[in-house]
Amino acid sequence: MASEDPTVNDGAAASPVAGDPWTNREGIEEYNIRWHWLQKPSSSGFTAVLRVRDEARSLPWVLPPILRSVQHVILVDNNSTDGTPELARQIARNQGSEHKLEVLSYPFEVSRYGAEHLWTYPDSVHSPTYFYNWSFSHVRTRYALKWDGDMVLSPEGEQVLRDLAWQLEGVGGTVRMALSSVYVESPRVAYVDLSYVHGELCGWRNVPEHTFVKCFDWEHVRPWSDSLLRVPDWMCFELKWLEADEFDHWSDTEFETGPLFRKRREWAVIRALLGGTDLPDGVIRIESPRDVHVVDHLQQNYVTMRHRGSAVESAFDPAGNEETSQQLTEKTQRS
Amino acid sequence: MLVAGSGRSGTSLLVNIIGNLGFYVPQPQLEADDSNPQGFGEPQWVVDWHTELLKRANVHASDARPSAWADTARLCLDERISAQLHRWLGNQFSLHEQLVIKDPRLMWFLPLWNRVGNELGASVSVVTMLRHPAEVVTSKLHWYPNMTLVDANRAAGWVNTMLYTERATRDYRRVFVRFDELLADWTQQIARISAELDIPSLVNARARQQAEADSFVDRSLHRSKASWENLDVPENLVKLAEQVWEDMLLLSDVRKDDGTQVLSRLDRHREAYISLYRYAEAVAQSTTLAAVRPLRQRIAALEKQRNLSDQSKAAQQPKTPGLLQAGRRLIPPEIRRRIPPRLKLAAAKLLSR
Repeated sequence: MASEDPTVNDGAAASPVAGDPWTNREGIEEYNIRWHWLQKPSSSGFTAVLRVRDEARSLPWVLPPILRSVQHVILVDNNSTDGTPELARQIARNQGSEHKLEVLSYPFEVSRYGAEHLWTYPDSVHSPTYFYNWSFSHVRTRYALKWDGDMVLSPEGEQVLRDLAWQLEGVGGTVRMALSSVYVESPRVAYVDLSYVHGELCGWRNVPEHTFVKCFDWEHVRPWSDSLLRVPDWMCFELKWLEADEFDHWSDTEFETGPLFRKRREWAVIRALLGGTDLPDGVIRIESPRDVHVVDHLQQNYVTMRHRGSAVESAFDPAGNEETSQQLTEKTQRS
Repeated sequence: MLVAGSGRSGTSLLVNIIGNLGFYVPQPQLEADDSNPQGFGEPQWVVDWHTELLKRANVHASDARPSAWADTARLCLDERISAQLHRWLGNQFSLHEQLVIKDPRLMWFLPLWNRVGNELGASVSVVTMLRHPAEVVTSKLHWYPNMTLVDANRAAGWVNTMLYTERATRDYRRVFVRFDELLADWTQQIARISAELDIPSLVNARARQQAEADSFVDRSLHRSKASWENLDVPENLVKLAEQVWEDMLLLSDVRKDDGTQVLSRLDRHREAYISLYRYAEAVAQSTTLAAVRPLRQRIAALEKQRNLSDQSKAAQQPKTPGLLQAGRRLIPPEIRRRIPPRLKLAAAKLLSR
């Protein structure tokens, strides 16, 4: 029996706790969910969980920075046809990070968001909720990080993630990401939507309180915690390839009139870009230098680009007479 | 160059030496006093800025809570705060090529300083001063008698801040320096800093500068000697502090092949400290509850007053349809939150007819 003395440092790392398995209604035992929650204090940091399908095109930008930033990466492949898992292994090998990457296979057809999701039971292997819980059940570190196969970290964002691993050791924190979409038209041209930044809960403690539950149109992790930390919008961006169908994971695509602002915005931007009409407000065109891919260019310059688009900085006066952004804007306009 | 380490660990001495070997301490500085007759080497703007930030984060400079790092992490990521530092540091670099920044509060914002320094194209390095925790606590008790912190809390604060300063700087260009060795022979320590951080200008300083640096070294400064004997610190905390001290010493002269084991032990020390602090908080819960109970009662009384006031205002408003009210009572909040807004709106309209 482990010592209850909290000061005993026996040199052993805190071990994950295996709970009772969650079964699926199809009775496929191999894909029962066996959690590895970690309740005791641990310096084990983050495990990023990527659930991917045909992300070979994005992976060269997505995987290397996340491998550098977290302690472990789990890539769960869902029936890719473009060699995504093999490419992931190759990328990790090239980087010398093979020991950090774990590639798993989830071979079931998963319902698309919307009506299909609504009519799929949450304990079915075809449910996104079950898929997500199964994927995250493999986390053995203190924190889990939900990462998509199209999210690209900036170099500054990598350091933020590395720091969060120790900054959040003493709390039961959650991390909320703020990211913008980058619409890639060609190897040298992309469009960045600076006006809309969507927030998403992406990091949380690996404990029973944080599992995915089924909502009407999609899944959601629960619950919110008291110690919520929002990371800045320059930390990463989300790739959208204009030649691909960015909405193929939804069963209903009437976003134009739907209630989801995020989807209405994406629909409007993609339609404008594909239709050659005027760019919506806040969308800027980026062209990279010759011989530089636009995603590489954006990755290296994203922080600068976002700072230029952000609010005017304020002056710090230790006497407490801090100027507001509004006052500084007026001052700038007068000068 | 950022100088980190607990207060009373020789950080002022190091800055006073380095400040005479080609590095600039931004002016104006904090004025010297009896506790630091040679001067603190702390830029006034930095001290004021950190003090304000810690106040916002509700964190003390030598806070013993492991959770405090998450509180300051939020500020490290704040755009306006980053911009403030960017502007100040940029101005300093426009005038001087090499800066040395020291403030005992700086450890709480290391990621911010590192990021902004890199954004400005600076080469950022960290020197952390090491002094035995019993000496640090004894020195603080002597020179800061008006502060209400008790021995055990100061000792815990040392453990917390040193463990996380080490962890924060693990990817940085860094070096650890012992206070007693700096006093014994400052030239050796500066030469080591110069070599390990690749700053040749330190050892290439002119003779006059070196003599000036030497004038700051006063071996009588080492007034508190290491002993837990007269300190009221529980045995388990003393044991952990000693373990942390021994491993931090190894970082100041570890061979490269021993580094991994030391870092791994320090990770375990952090976990042990988090457990220790958590259990201490749990045991002392009665004290905490007793302290906040009068405040809670006062808040409850104020809320009751406010509710009475709101009710009288509500009595003048049109009543919500009975069916809608019944719906709200029957359907639990956690279920109501999951209903899409469009359905809620439609239901409200229907039930309001």
